[in-house]
Formats: sequence, structure tokens, C-alpha cells
Amino acid sequence: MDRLHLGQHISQQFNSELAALTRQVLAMGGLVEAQLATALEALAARDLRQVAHVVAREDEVNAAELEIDARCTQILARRQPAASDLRLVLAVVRMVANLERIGDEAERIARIVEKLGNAELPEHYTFKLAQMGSLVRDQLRGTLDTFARMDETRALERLRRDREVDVLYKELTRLLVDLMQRESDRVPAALEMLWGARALERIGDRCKNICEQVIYLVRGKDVRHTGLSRSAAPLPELKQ
Amino acid sequence: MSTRDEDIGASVMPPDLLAGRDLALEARALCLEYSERRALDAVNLQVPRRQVTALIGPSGCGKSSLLRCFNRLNDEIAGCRVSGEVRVLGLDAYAPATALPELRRRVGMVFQKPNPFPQSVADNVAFGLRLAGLRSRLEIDDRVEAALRAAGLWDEVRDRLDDSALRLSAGQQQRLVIARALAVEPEVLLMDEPASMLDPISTLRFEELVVALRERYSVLLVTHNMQQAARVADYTAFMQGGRLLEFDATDRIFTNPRLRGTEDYITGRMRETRG
Amino acid sequence: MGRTVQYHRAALRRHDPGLWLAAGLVGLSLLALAAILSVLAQQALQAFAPTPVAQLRWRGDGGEQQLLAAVVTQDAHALVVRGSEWQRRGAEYRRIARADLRQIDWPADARSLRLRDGREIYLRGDSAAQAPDGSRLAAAEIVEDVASNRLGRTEATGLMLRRAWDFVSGAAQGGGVFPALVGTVVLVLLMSVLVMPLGVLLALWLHEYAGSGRGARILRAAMANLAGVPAVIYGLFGLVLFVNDIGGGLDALLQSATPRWGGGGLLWSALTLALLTLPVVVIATEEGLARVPASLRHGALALGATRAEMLWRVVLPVARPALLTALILAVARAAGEVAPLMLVGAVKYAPALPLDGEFPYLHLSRQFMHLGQSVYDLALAGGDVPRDMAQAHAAALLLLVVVVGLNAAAIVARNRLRERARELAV
Ligand SMILES: Nc1ncnc2c1ncn2[C@@H]1O[C@H](COP(=O)(O)OP(=O)(O)OP(=O)(O)O)[C@@H](O)[C@H]1O
Ligand SMILES: [Mg+2]
Repeated sequence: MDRLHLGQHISQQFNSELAALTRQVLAMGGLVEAQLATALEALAARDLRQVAHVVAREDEVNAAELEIDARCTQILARRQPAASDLRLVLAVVRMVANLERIGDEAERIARIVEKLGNAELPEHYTFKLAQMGSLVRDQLRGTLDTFARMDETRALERLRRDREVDVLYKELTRLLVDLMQRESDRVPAALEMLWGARALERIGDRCKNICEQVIYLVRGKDVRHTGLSRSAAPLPELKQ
Repeated sequence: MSTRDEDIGASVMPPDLLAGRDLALEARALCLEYSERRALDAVNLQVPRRQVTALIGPSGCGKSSLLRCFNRLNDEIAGCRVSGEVRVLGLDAYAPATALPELRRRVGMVFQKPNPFPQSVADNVAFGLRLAGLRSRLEIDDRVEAALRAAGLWDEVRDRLDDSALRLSAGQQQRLVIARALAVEPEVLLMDEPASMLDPISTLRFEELVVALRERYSVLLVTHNMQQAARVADYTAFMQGGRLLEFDATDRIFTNPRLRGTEDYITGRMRETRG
Repeated sequence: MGRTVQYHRAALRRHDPGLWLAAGLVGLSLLALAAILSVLAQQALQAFAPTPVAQLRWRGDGGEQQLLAAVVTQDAHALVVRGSEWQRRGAEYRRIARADLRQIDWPADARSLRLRDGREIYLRGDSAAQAPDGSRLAAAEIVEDVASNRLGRTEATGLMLRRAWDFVSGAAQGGGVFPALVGTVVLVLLMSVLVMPLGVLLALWLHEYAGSGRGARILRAAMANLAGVPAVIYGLFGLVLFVNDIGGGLDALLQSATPRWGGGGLLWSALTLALLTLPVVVIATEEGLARVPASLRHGALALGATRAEMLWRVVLPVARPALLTALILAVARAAGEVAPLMLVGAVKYAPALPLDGEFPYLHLSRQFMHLGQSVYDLALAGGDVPRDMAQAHAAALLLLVVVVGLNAAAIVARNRLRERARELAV
């Protein structure tokens, strides 16, 4: 996994600090991934127990963010990292912020179950939402995987796959707007579903951000706001 | 032996990094041997005018040797042979017509080990001025004070200008030799680890000085302190094993160097190298 | 200082063998020096000590004889005595076997007169000095009139010191050694003035400019070998080159009627000695130059100094103690050298001092006297062996004192410089 040669510092201490940092990020990623999965299951099954579970674990996500940030601050102050080490720390700080937001979105999805009560929606809609949910879950898992492997080409692929989420989101939005226009008594439930779809779409964007950070981390190239996800351009050259 | 080959250095440096900049120093295909032992191997380096360029690299990679080519102090070392082209302020430093004292007056040097003369503090700083033919006591005193102030030493030595320079502490001596070099107002300053013995505050003052010097001087600074290079240099060159491997804007070198070797060096990694 | 002593005491207590060895060797060399000095001093004293005067009666060849004479030496078998020198200095020595001796008295009224030309006359009571041929001594002839047997210890010492001083300052009968003393000192100083610039320049050239080129290698080898050439060969060389060729040439050029430069003289002697000591100076100076750190040279050059400026302003000041060491070695070697001087200018009697109040004060072409030459002459002259031998020892002692004195002066100067250097180096 050590494509950045993080384990080759002369200082063993630094090596283990960086290793611990990546481990923590992956652990937090795992946590957030689980939150999203639970939230989606809760939504599918209208299971309030699982909702409570998600809400309860949200604190763990926040705590993880704080801890990782503190660790990064420490590394910056004491190691004054440069080059890939510096990029790792910066990328981690940004990724963790995104992960925390993903955690927030997962909670929001879980809370929809409470709002919906036992309002019914046609099968067709819930299916679409579940489809979008599993796509986003897959995106999140894949994104975390690219970080774990420091694999910037996969990250680019993931980055570009976010469009699929966007397509689904637009489709669902259109359907829900139609529904609200036709059956006004279903508006509150449809609105909740719209919020859910929006949250998923946001998570997709956050995954995109994380993929950008993986590319920055490995290639040293900041690809934010470059339209990379919409073009088919290859990545910049890797160093010799 | 001068090859005006445009892609010399292309592998070392991004093509238009220094486009439009005047050069203070330039080395082309510079090789140097100490009695058959090669210390510099086809070095291509361009040092832009009125900028600070840091030279970094592991111990023994030839930084000091390279520095000594620019004021031809290598001429003093028996068995040292230099080939290639060295240009200082546009002139060929190794041309037969080059007047060494004149060259060295324009290219000041601060040595790796502080080397004050066994004379008084004031005489040390005035040394270069007297060589340059300055006679007026008043003017000499003024310039000595100015140089000592610039080097951040004045307050510590103002009462002991007539004391032996060898009684100063190592850090004070280091600032003294900086003052000595500044006093003659050279156009280029070669500094070989000039802050190695300074405390953090003095180091910061020194770095401030270097940044201020940028206004009027071109500085080539050897340092083993990566943060120092990152803080003061506009450009950074990385050397290893007698070769100049990478030259780039400091920002680039310290965030995303192009070569693994550079990266390993500045981030403190160790790797089986091919030497 | 106190701390050094403490340190040494502690080291001795620890039975540090290095220190014992060093202390032993230092002690040995001090002992040798003391032995030389004391032998010389003892012998020299004889030249100045008042000799007791005895009334002697003994059985000689022509029956019983008697004489009032100074007893020069005596042992178990014989006495050596010296009778009044009415005729000639050194002519009246007599050896009397103890077996022949009938009577020896030390009359309290014995007097010894010392004459201007060094002769001594012995008398009793206040009888006027009258030679066997009836002639009388003029009062002006007499420089000293001593009641030899009645001298107290202090008087004897005073007399001795006065005679020694007369000997050194030139007021002594027979001239004393003052001219030789002046000659020696002037010669050594002149030699130093000549050899130092030359030697230092040569060393500078060798060490700073010549590098390891062929010329330098040859010159270095030459220096090493020259240092081993016997001194008298330098004298021959000086005679041929300086006296005959250059001096003769100068005379021809100046069209002087009498040879002025074409004979031995102070300048040629000093030059010969300078040549003799040149290797020592060059080698010692070069060593000193080699010890000046390259970083200082580079520092000066990097400020735009030319090579000459660098040498003059940085290297030479730092090497100053080494230069003085070179001078010390040169003086030590030159001051004791006699053989070559005899060939190029030192003489037994010089009519005038090389240094006087007459313009141009320092007379480079004059012949001069030298303590070494005096020792040699006195020891071998043979006219008045006991007295001359004693004087030779006195002159030798003086020579030694001069050498030690010149060296000591240079060493003090060097130590002072070193002290300064150390102060600068703290
Ligand atoms: N005067 C000399 N004679 C022979 N070899 C030398 C001399 N000076 C330097 N070298 C050799 O040349 C190589 C480069 O030395 P140099 O002093 O230029 O290294 P450096 O990069 O300045 O190292 P440092 O960071 O330790 O000062 C080294 O291998 C060194 O041993
Ligand atoms: Mg160096």
C-alpha cells in the first residue's frame, strides 16, 4: 500500500506516526461507511431502532474528526513535513472534514425515517431511492479504497462515476416533483424523500472531493475546480 | 568546452522557469576533480539575479565545491581541476583575462566554518574596505557599523570593537564574517551554511537579512536546514553525488518535487540509491 | 602558573613516566649547561684573580737561588711561579720541584705592580720599582699597585671584578675583548638584518608561489643539503665570491687606490653568515607558513585580496612567532661560528671598531674582531700560556653569554608575540 513510501523515513517515529494517521482515517472512513449503510437500511425498513443507532454513533464520527485533526496539527508543528508528507497531512485534514460531513448526511437520511412516520410512497420511488443509495454506498467504499491503496487512477475513475449519481438524482427529483404536482396530499412525504436524495447526492460530491485529495496526495496536483471529472484528460505524469 | 545546447539543464529545471530573468551566476557542464576524484559532474545551474537561491543536498555532495567555482577559490586548492563554463554576472569567470581580486570583490563569500582573522572585530570588518583602497577613518567606521548592524551583531560588539575577533562566540563569529562580506557590498553573495551556529532568534534575523538582501544582491545559499531554504529561497537546487538533480521554484520543491531523490532528501527518507 | 605546578606535582605523584622522562631530560640539559658555564667561569676567574706573591728559596742548577714571584699554580710535586716581567710579558715562568724548595714565605709587604702593557712586577715594602739594569719605571706606566698578600676577601673580589670589567670593556692591558664583543654583536645583528628578509622572501616564494614545481623541489633539496655543509666551506665560498669577485670588482669599479672592499670585511662576513643561516631560516619560516590555516588565506582572497595582500595582511602576521623562531635558530647558529669568519673578515687586531661615532657610523668594509676569533687566538697564541688560556676561557664565557643573551632576547620577543597570538586566539 506504501506507494508514497511513507514507511521509509529515517525517523521510525515519524513512520509510525504517519502509519497511525492513515489507519485512523481509514477507521473513520469505515465508521462513516457503516453509518451510511445503517441509515439506508433504516430507511428501507422504516426501522427506528437503527435510526437511534445512527444518531448515537454520530458522536463517534465527530470525535474521530477532532482526533485526526489534532494529530495533523501535531505532525505539522513537530515534523514540519514537506512534499508528499506535507500533502498527506493536508489531504487528510480535508478528507476528514468531508468524511465528517458524510456522517452528517447519513444522520440526516436516518432522521427521514422519523419524519416519514408511516406515510406510504409508491414502490417505484422507494426503489429508485434505494438504487441511488447503493450507488452512493459503493462510491464511498470505492473512494475509501482508493485512499487505502493510494491509487490515483482508480480515484479518477471514481471521480468520473459521480456523474451516474447525479443522473439518478435528477431523475428522482423530476419524478418527485411530478408526484407532488399530481397528488398534493403526498407532498410532505415526497419532500422528505427529496431531502434524502439530496443528501445522497451530497455524499457523492463529498466522495468526489476525497478522490481529488487522493489524486493531490499522490500526484501533487490540485485537481479541484479543474473540470477533470467532466473531461477525459489523463492524469499528469508521475515522478521518476 | 562551452556547449550552448538549449536542452542543457532541461531535465534539471522546467523549461521556462527562469524565462526573462537576468542571471547572476551560471554554470554549464561544470565538472570538478580533486586529484582525479570527481566532486562535480556536469553541473548546470542558473542563479537568477536579485533572488535568493538555496542549494541543498546531502553532506559531501559538492555544494561547497560548486560555490568555490563562482569566485574561483578552487584555484587555491592543489590538485583541483575545473572544466566547463562558469559565468558570473555575464562574464566568463575562467577566462584568462579575468582579474581575480576584482571578481572576488563582486562575489562575496561566507564560509562554512567561521574564519575571522586574528585581528580586532573592527579590523575584520574593515579588511575588505581597506583592500578596496578606502582610507578615511570616518567612512570606514561608518561602513563597519552599518555592516555589523546588518548582520545583527552591532549591539553585541559595539563596546568591544577593538577586542580580538577570536574571542567572540561561534555564533557571533559567524555573524562577523557575514558582516565582513557585506561590508564590501558585493553584487553576489555565496553563503555556505552561514547560520549553522545561530540560535533561533539570530537565525530568524539572519533570514530576514537574506530576504532584505534580495533587493540588491543575488544570493546563493547553501543550507542543511530545509525549513530555512523553504523560508528564504525563491529557488531551490538539489544536489546529490556531485550532480545537480533538480532546480525549481522553492514552493514547488517543497510541496511537490519532480524527482523521487529530491523528495526523499527533503522529507528525510532513506532508500537504496544507485549512488 | 600555580596551577601548572600543581598539575605537575600531581603528575609526579601519579608516577607519570612521560613527565619523569621529560623532567629528567630537562634536568640533564640544564646540568650540561651549568657544567660548561662553571668550568668556563672557573678557568676564566684565574685570569682575573689576584695571585699571591711568595718569597722563594730553592736549589737550582747554579746553586741556591731566590726570587720574589707570583705563584701561578701549585700541586704536590711542583710550583709554577712567575717572576717580575722586566723584559717581556710571559717570559718569566719557572717550574720549581717541591723537592728543591728550601723555603717559601708569603711576605705581608709584597706588592704586585701591573703595567700598561700587561707585564707584572713584584716588589717588597715601599721600595721603588727598579729594574735589574737599573732603569726605573715611570709612574704613568703603572696601572695597578696591589698589596697582594694582604688583600681581604672583599678587596680581592673587587679587584677581580674590576679586572674582569676592564677585560670586557677594553680598558685592560693588551686591549681586552671589547672590540671583539662589539664586532660579534654588530656582526650578528647585521647578519640577522640580511638573512631575515631574504630567508622570509625565499620561504614565501617557495611556499606560496612555487607550489610543487620543479624549481621549488630543487630549491628545497638544495636548502636541506646546504644546512649540512660545514661552515668553513661557506667561508671559502664567501672569500671567493664576496671578497675576491664582488669586492675586487667593486674596488676596480670605484678605482680606489687601496683595496677597500676587496679585503675581508664586516659586510662580507655578515653575508657569509647570512648564507650559512639561510637554510635554517627558510625551513623554519616555511614550516610556520604551512601552519597558517587555509581558511584564513581563503577568507582574505575571497574579500578580493591579491596574493601579496593576503600574505602581508594575514599570513605573515599570523606566522610572526615562526619568523622569530627562525631568527633564533639563525642567531644561535651564526653567533658561535668562527671558522668561516677568519676567511672573510675577522682579524686578531682591528685598528678600529666597525661601529663608531664617525659617519657613516657603521663601517661595512672594515675588518673587525670577533669573540670566537679571540678565543682561538688566545688559546693558540702561546706567548703566555697560563694567562692567555685563562683569558681565552673568559672570552669564551663572554661569547656564550652573548649568544645566550641574543637568543634570550629573541625568545622573549617571540613569547610575547605568542602571548598576543594566544590572547587573540582565546
Ligand atoms: N580540498 C579537497 N581535496 C580533496 N577532496 C575534497 C576537497 N574538498 C572537498 N573534497 C571532496 O569533494 C566532495 C565534495 O565536497 P564538498 O565540500 O563540496 O561537499 P559539501 O556538499 O559542501 O558537503 P557539506 O555539506 O558536508 O559541507 C567530498 O567528497 C569531499 O571529500
Ligand atoms: Mg560544504
